[in-house]
Amino acid sequence: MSRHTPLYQPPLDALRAPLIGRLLKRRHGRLLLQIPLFLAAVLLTYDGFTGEQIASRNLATVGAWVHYRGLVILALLLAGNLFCMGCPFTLPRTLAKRLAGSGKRFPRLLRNKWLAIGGLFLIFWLYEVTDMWASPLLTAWLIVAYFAASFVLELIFTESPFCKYICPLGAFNFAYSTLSPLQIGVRNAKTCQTCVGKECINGSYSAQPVILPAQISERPPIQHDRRGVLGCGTLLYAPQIKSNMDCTFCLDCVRACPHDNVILGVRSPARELRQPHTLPKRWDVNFLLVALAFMGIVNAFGMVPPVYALLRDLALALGTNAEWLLLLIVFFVGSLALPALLSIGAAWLANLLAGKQQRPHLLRHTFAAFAPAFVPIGAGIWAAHYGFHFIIGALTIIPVLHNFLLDHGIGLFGTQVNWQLGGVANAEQFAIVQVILLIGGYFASMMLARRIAVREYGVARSQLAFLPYALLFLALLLAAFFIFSQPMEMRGTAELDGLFH
Amino acid sequence: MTHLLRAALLILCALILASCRQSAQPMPTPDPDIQLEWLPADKPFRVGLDALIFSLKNARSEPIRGALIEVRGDMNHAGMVPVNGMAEGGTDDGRYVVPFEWTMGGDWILTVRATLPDGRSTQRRYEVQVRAQ
Ligand code: SF4
Ligand code: SF4
Ligand SMILES: [Cu+2]
Repeated sequence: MSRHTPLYQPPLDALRAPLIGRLLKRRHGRLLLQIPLFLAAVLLTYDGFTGEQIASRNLATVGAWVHYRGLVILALLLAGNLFCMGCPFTLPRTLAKRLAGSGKRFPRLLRNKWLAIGGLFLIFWLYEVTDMWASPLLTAWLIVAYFAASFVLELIFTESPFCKYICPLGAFNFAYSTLSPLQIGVRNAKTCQTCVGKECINGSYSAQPVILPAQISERPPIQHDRRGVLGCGTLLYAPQIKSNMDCTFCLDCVRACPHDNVILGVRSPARELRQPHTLPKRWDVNFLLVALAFMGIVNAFGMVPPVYALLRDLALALGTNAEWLLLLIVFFVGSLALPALLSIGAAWLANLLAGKQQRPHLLRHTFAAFAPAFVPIGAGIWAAHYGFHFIIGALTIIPVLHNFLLDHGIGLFGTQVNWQLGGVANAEQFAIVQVILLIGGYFASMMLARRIAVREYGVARSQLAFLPYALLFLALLLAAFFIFSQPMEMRGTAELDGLFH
Repeated sequence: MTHLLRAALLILCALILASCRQSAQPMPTPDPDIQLEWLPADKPFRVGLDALIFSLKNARSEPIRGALIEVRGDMNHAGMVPVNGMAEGGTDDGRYVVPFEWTMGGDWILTVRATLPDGRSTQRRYEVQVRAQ
């Protein structure tokens, strides 16, 4: 396949959609999403700090743990990285950029996904240790910490390292946007070949509006005023983009291209994962995809009764009931050590079983080749879990918001709060969807791995290379089934406190 | 644009300040003359129907009759619908049996309010764990 294979021929551009496309392409089009999300973040934080400290009655906890999480995964599966597009944390950052002027570059050693993987691990662990889902206050602090971190980093460094290298939410979104049906691309590859400015990546800082010779007589499709426009903040080059990884859907490239050549193209959700090596063959990026699937399991495992049995056994074996330590061990093993061991082991086995002696496969290449196959099963696990909370609690935001307004003297919607509004379906009904998500993700992962095996080892040897991955995915599926068939318990690990008494 | 950013920053600062003086929702000061007690059950709480027993006495430990006991159970997890229960009148020894359904396993916060026939009231809060199985 050539580098210039168009997304679809003719390409379908989501930005050509009436009204919304035009609005998004405007200079401040991103604010359309950012302002509402920023206001929501402020509201959540405010209620988290000042409101009643009961998770199911506070906007901070309901907004963050029911709606944000549920909608993020839904948006990724149905459209793309819409959360990064509307990310409110970037708003104060823009100000930091102005205050800072030109700063240092982000250290080369850290220009990879290891910090983000560490950040994801830290958040999931803290979430469990502090029972963050039960605490509006801590949830509010988490939001403030996000704003502060992205602001400070912007003050210190020139590029925007936060999105690309640190933000755990971004890392999650990047990873699962690899199976989103939208992707930045170009309308006509030839235009890019002759393009002089490459504004999509460079940005333009013209002293006067850019007008191309061909457009002198007509109104240019894209007009840059003297303020210029930004190029891609995460350094992606539109005509070469093959992956949604690192794309924040900010549409800066769309606004920057003087030829109106950048599109938000519609693609098959499987397109990117099926293509060979759309991601660099690096350990960090590919381990992110693998680890997230396991983190999905561990995160859900934290909510079912067997986790208490495991922690109790561990506590007795180690003679400690320090909850943070026990959880640290479980989380470290489950979401870092195990995925590393199993996925590298599978790659090693695949090479051993199917590799040719004359031309041995590098372990890192095999590992990288198969990593995208972990995306569908991972997405299925996350969607089954966060979808569950969303489906059974989506409507609770209505009474909580109503109650918040009443608490602040706004009686616009009457004084009777209907606390009985709950979900759009109950847990039993959603169980069917969970099964479909898990099995669907599993089969997609199996088909991908099969395809990758054929590509890397040829048809004859592919079965052997496929085998270790097939077993690994089966194990993941069984683990997921085990967890999701347990009754979910909405509680912390406080039970451990009484362990030795 | 810059205005907008300034405003955003200002709001953030205000929020951080707000965090320094969190108003913990005050519980109404309990009336010393009303003693509301939840009589502990002898078995662990499990999902399903349950009967919660409360006792209501005055300062001299005499049972109070004719009061209204309202129970509200909130889950300590966002996105869960609260459960309500109530009992009126009470028995001769000042006991009130509130039918109540634990709808899901996990941590619950029980807010119990007793309103006496003369209008005085008191409120107490309990945290309980309910097993799913
Ligand atoms: S996308 Fe636009 S700005 Fe970028 S290289 Fe192509 S024509 Fe030039
Ligand atoms: S500028 Fe970069 S991050 Fe933004 S939408 Fe374009 S490719 Fe994605
Ligand atoms: Cu959960």
